[in-house]
Amino acid sequence: MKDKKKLVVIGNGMAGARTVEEILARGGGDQFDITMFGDEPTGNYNRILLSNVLNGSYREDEIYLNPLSWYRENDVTLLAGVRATGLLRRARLVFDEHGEAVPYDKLIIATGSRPFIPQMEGTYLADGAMKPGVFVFRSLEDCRKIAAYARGKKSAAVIGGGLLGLEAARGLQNFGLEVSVVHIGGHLMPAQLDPAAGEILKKSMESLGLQVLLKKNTKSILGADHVLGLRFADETALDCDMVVISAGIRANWEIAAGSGLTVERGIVVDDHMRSADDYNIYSVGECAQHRGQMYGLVAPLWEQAKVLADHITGRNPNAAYHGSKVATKLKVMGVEVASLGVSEPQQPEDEVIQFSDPKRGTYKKLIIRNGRLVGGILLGDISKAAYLMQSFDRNTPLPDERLGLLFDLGDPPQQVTFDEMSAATQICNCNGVSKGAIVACVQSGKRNAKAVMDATRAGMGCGSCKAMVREIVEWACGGMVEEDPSVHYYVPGVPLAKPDLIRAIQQHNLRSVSAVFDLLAGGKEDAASKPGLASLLKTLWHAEYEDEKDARFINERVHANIQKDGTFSVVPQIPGGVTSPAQLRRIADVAQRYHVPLVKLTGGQRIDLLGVRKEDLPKVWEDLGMPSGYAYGKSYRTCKSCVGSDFCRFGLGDSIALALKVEAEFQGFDSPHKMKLATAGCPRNCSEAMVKDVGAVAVEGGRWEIYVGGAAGSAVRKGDILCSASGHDEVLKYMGRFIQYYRENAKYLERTHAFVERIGIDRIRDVVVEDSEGIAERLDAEVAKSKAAYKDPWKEAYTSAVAKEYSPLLPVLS
Amino acid sequence: MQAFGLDIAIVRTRAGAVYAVEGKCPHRGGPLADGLIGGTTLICPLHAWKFDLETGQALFGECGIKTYPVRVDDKGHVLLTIDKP
Ligand SMILES: Cc1cc2nc3c(=O)[nH]c(=O)nc-3n(C[C@H](O)[C@H](O)[C@H](O)COP(=O)(O)OP(=O)(O)OC[C@H]3O[C@@H](n4cnc5c(N)ncnc54)[C@H](O)[C@@H]3O)c2cc1C
Ligand code: HEM
Ligand code: HEM
Ligand code: SF4
Ligand code: FES
Repeated sequence: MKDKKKLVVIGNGMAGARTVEEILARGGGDQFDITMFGDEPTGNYNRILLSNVLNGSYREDEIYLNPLSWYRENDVTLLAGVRATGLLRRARLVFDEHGEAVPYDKLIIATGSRPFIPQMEGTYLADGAMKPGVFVFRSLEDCRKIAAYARGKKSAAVIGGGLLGLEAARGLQNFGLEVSVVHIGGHLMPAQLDPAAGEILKKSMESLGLQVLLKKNTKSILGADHVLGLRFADETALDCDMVVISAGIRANWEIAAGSGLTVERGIVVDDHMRSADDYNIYSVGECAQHRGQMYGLVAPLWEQAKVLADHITGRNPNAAYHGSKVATKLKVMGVEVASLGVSEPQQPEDEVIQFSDPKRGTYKKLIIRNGRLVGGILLGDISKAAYLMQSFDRNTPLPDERLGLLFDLGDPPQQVTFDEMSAATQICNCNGVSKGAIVACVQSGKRNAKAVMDATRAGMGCGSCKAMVREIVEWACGGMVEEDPSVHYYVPGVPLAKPDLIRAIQQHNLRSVSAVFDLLAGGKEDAASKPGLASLLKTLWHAEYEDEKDARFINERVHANIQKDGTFSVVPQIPGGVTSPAQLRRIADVAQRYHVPLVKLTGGQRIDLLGVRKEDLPKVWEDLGMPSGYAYGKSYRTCKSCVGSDFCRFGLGDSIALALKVEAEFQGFDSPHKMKLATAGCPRNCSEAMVKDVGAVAVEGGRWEIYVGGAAGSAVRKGDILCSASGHDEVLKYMGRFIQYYRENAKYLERTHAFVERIGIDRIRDVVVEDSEGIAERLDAEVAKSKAAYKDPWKEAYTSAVAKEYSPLLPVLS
Repeated sequence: MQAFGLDIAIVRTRAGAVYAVEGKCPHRGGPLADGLIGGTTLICPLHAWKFDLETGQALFGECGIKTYPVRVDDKGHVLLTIDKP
């Protein structure tokens, strides 16, 4: 491997290690020999959980994200306990404290930050060491020192009333100490709260036994050779046996500045997370400054890591970070707090909605600009946080009913809280997983919903309980959930979101599932990702897609729906629910000939032959002589219709004729999830077109209203009106554009109702009807290509010699 | 396939390896020969339980499936070793 490049990472913390993980996930292990400098002597651990280690709810070994074995297994050289002290850019060398040089081709600086220690007399001893009893709170080592010193002591002070200070205070209380929080400002948690909320939080903290001292500027730390107390600028004093300084953080940028890189408050990077001065050097995490912004939370850093990895591996040379909107949900000593964006109005026209109930420790405030959320604080009751954070993040317009933003109105009484719910309560009925099992799994170290679902199978059946599983995981993590990067991937096994994935597939001309794994997933096959990839490739390449049978779910392999006993169901195409005596006779004959145990009318106005043996499938299809109805696929299924204007006295439009055209247009279209369509001859909607994935309903004047995103399955939702169209051809055109847009942009297994809610009907209408992106013509052309590529899979199967594929038996030689 | 009253799934992975495992899923008897394969993971077609083809271990929970030693001879015959029940 002579031509591998050398990648050196300075800093083995949450950003550095995550970035390396992202790089490896993009096949970076083949491109780079990776070396990491880590000042701390261990693998990367979850810094967020340090307060839990301090308060004893976690053991040290439970918070490792990357144990030392991880570095070995991934061929990453970790220089543990080695501090990088110098950087010579011209020679591309990094020096450690002993003067050893390590060469690099690409360098990532992820040195994080260190606690800021304000000027106070008596912080240090004469020899420059910190006075015994003075601590900071940033690393596992700090935790250990604090814990060792706290034993047997009576009182402690924390300097700094921010989030970390309060967390440290909580940890110290667990050692049985009297704890005081000393804060220089007028209210607690100034980064997240306004004065009113700070005051309420102070009351809640005091009721939990914490002493809170505000507007206290610490001048000196008392005690000759160990801490005895604090003296403030107003000449008052406080006795205490130890003090933890938590007065903010400063970025570790010295190594960058020393080599001439631009540093302001942090290392200045561009949108690729690359230094402004040197294209071989990147920076990520708390030490990086992007568009003037520094981040002290982990969520933005995950986004940065992905962009950096996309860029440095060449996976996406255009990958760009645009900054993060900061929204956090946390628990401070058991009090729940959510904070988003700004905490005070910034412009005269900003709207402020506020509710305060100091007695119950509840405070809510929203700041709205142009009908959109720009900031907010929720304290004590954060039941609306999930909704608000989502609309903040996506910048969606808020409903006019402002009160409903703060409270659940007129809804059924609040469900039981998770604290009250018994451990035995079954959460996932499909896989029989109880609340207790989920909590146990979280405690065993799985700290995001996906990891818990993978381990317990909760939520992996019908998926209806997923939201609750997610909430329980969040609750059990105490708000410190780790984001799972794969939630944004189109399929779990290829680390790319859908638009990036499509771009990569087209750029590299990947036409088969195995080619995608080879190039985009480091050669690692993932079974669960195969059907999703197969569907996407078929959508992109139409007839030029290279089919691989092993990539398809059994249903798609044998073009029939597997049943619980391993037999299959056969549903022939009956467009619009319109059949004929001859067809019915043939179906009856086939059912008798192959002893089909059950013949049933389906919900889709078709006829289902259930219990067909696998080996009979090709003969059944041939004898039927009807095309497949795709009742098994993640694809266009069928279009139901009502009788419409031909027979019905209410009929306004010919719904049957339209349904037949719809079927001819879209039959066989693969899609992220199934698509069920309907047409109705008038708004009486007998064929339920308004709750279909796509539906057309005739209205006065020869027009049709097109509904999209309806659902009447495990979710029930009335579709949104996309537009109204005149005449059948125009209906087909808009339906086709929507379908193609859905095919290209939905995540695998995302039904249209979820897709429409995620993207928003206004946006979809802009693109599909108004053509705001100028892609309408292309969408139409893609539809035409898919239509031209249609082949009846049944006919293909029985006319080619693949009978053995349908046989369960191999000849046994013995 | 069936032999000696046993249901056995024989699968070949994309990498060319051949495995023989119990043919019925321990969950609700799903036909594992109709499952999806990726690497050495086999996914049951009914409710997507996952198993490791090498060890038979389920990728979650305790249960697993039996595995049978198997090799392919130079004529392409698949040779299985089964302890007679
Ligand atoms: C107690 C605590 C609680 C927190 N709680 C939350 C929370 O609830 N939610 C949240 O989002 N965030 C929280 N944070 C913040 C979060 O932990 C940080 O944002 C995150 O760790 C930043 O990652 P980083 O990689 O940039 O820095 P770090 O994780 O600090 O990693 C930097 C690493 O680089 C090493 N290093 C520095 N200089 C050198 C050098 N010259 N040579 C070699 N190695 C070097 C350091 O030793 C360190 O290991 C908390 C932080 C603390 C301390
Ligand atoms: C919300 C909960 C559940 C969901 C979403 C769910 C989902 C499913 C799905 C998708 C199938 C496949 C059906 C098919 O291929 O046609 C299935 C089958 C099955 N499930 Fe569940 N299941 C759930 C709960 C349960 C429970 C609680 C049990 C048993 C205690 C169970 C037992 C079965 C059985 C025996 C089958 C195979 C038989 C059949 O298809 O009807 N399921 N389930
Ligand atoms: C003049 C217009 C209509 C005609 C000609 C018509 C015709 C019919 C006929 C013939 C049936 C019996 C079918 C059967 O037994 O399977 C039927 C059933 C039904 N009709 Fe109508 N109908 C009309 C109006 C409506 C309207 C306005 C609605 C609803 C708003 C409606 C909803 C239904 C329902 C729900 C059934 C029962 C379906 C079933 O049993 O599966 N019909 N209709
Ligand atoms: S939707 Fe209207 S046209 Fe169609 S059957 Fe019902 S009443 Fe008649
Ligand atoms: S029968 Fe195999 S997962 Fe249910």
